Amino acid sequence: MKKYDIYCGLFLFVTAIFVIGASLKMGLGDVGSPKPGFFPFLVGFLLFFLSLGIIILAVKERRRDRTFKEWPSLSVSVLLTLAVLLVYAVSLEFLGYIVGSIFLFLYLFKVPAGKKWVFSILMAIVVVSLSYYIFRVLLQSQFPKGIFQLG
Amino acid sequence: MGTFDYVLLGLKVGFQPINILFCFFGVLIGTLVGVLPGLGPVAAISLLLPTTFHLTPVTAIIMLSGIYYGAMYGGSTTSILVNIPGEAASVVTCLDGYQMARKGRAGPALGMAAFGSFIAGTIGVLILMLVANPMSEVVLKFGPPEYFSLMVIGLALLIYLAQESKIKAMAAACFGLILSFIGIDVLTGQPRFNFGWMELADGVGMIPLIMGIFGISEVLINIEDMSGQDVYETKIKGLFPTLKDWIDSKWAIVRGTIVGFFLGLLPGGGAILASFASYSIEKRFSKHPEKFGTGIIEGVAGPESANNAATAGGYIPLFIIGIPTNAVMAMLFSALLIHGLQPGPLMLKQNPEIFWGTVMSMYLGNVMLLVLNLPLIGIWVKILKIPYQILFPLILAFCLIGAYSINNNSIDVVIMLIFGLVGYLMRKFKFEGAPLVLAFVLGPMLERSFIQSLHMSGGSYAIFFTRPVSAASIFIAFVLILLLIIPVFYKRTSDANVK
Repeated sequence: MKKYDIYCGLFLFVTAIFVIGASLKMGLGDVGSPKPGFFPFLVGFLLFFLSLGIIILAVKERRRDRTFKEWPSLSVSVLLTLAVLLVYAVSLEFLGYIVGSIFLFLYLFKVPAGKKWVFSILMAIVVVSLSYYIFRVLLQSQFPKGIFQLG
Repeated sequence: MGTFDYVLLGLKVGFQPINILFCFFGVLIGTLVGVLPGLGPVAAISLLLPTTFHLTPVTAIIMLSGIYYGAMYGGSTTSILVNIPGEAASVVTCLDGYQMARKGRAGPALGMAAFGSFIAGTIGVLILMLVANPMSEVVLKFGPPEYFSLMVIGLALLIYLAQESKIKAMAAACFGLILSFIGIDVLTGQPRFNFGWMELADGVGMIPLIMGIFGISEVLINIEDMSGQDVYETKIKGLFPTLKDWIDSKWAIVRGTIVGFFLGLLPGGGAILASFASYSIEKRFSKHPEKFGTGIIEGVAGPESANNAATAGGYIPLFIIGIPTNAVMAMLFSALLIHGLQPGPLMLKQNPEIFWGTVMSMYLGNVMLLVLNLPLIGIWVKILKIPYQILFPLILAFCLIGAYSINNNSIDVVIMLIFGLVGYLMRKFKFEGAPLVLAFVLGPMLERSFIQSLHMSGGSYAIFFTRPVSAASIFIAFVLILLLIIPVFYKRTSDANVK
């Protein structure tokens, strides 16, 4: 166990409290005749103790493990890529598949993949064209056209 | 209908041209996925699930199954040539396979991996064929209490076999169950945990969740380190093992097949556990255990046979009982649900063509794989050299299109990416994804069985302990939980004694 497990445990603890509270609002019913909140209550209850267990085990490890305070490396490139992907997903209906995807793949080939501009632009066009042909034309999938009405 | 009639039905279905074609696509994609490090069968199946919407259920399952056992074949290629497992079940093959390559014996290693996989896969399918019908007759007598307790034991075993922290695996399973509660209550139709959002009215989509947790997170992890691997530059000659290789490997293949098949039956078992167990067994039975790790053929033959036999074994709980036992089976389970089918003994009776068509196509698939893996080895080696910087945008393209095409709605893409982040963080913080996904998939069934059992018994919990199968399963789950808790207390006591 490491220090970050304390925070993970806290997150799960808060989740458990939320689930227990919401389940009580829905109603538990009788033990023999449960209502919609019964089963979630049981699971939330179990998670409550498991999260406490994780926190306690992590706190106990604090003195024993020299590497206790080590955090896993969270790559900035990965988190930035994920953020860009989320922006793409949210704007997909607005921009349309072709326009949105060209910007996305340009970013992917240029930034995390580290390729040159010319290569990135060419590959973005190739990937979007090929995917459009395979999925839209051949497999008849539906793609959003966006405000530019492309596709 | 008897087993023989079902076999004939299966042959008729499995050998239809469309099914042969998609079986070929499946094993080809599976081999490719197995060859490419960083994209395992779980991720690949999750990415390809949306493409099966337009297929018939049997064709969809044939293709997805082909990916699963195809990946077992392909994974050995990178293990032997690059010392990096193409997928998790081929980790053990690295130990002796790569050493054989360094000694100039890459060809026989690759050949034995392919032949061992073929023999074990074929025997596994034969056993599957023989036990399916009698077993389904027994399982038809199961009721909600048996299903509930079997699912509990499935989750308990998966947690017990977790490679990281068990308490974290239990917490991940609970989190998966909670995610499954989002949407509509299974029995009353009342909305639950959806915060009043229309987008969550039907709950969290199974496919975006699975694609995110396994597919997207895999890509994100690999983006962190895109440095190339060194393919061992050896001329691969003589793909056929020698007579001595066959003599040395015969018992390894037999033991691997038996161990693999039975471990594949177990929840949490599957190909990974089977390959590790086989390697340990071969080392134990060997007359020269000290040679393991230096490049001996048994170290390749046993695990590669075991992982293929395990894929066949895993179909029994899925199709005959209706309970998936690992992440891949959970995805096949999802695929069947998407096509409006509930896996289990009733599906075997009402839609026998799905199970028997899939089983018969596995014979064909195994032959195709032998052909694909040996003569085309040069092509797979070239593919290994494609930089990941080129591959990952293509994989992401596939994910994004796949997620969007579920409902032609970008919300599914957002959900997939959110769970991609969840999966990425879970890997970083050492939480396993499989318990979360399995619990999420089983959650609605688990709750429904539980409530139905109580209705059957008039509110008495004794029903879980008075029916033999249910009682035995609950007892085993209890023992497993004790086996998880006791070491924690024992450690605490011995630490106190030391102080």
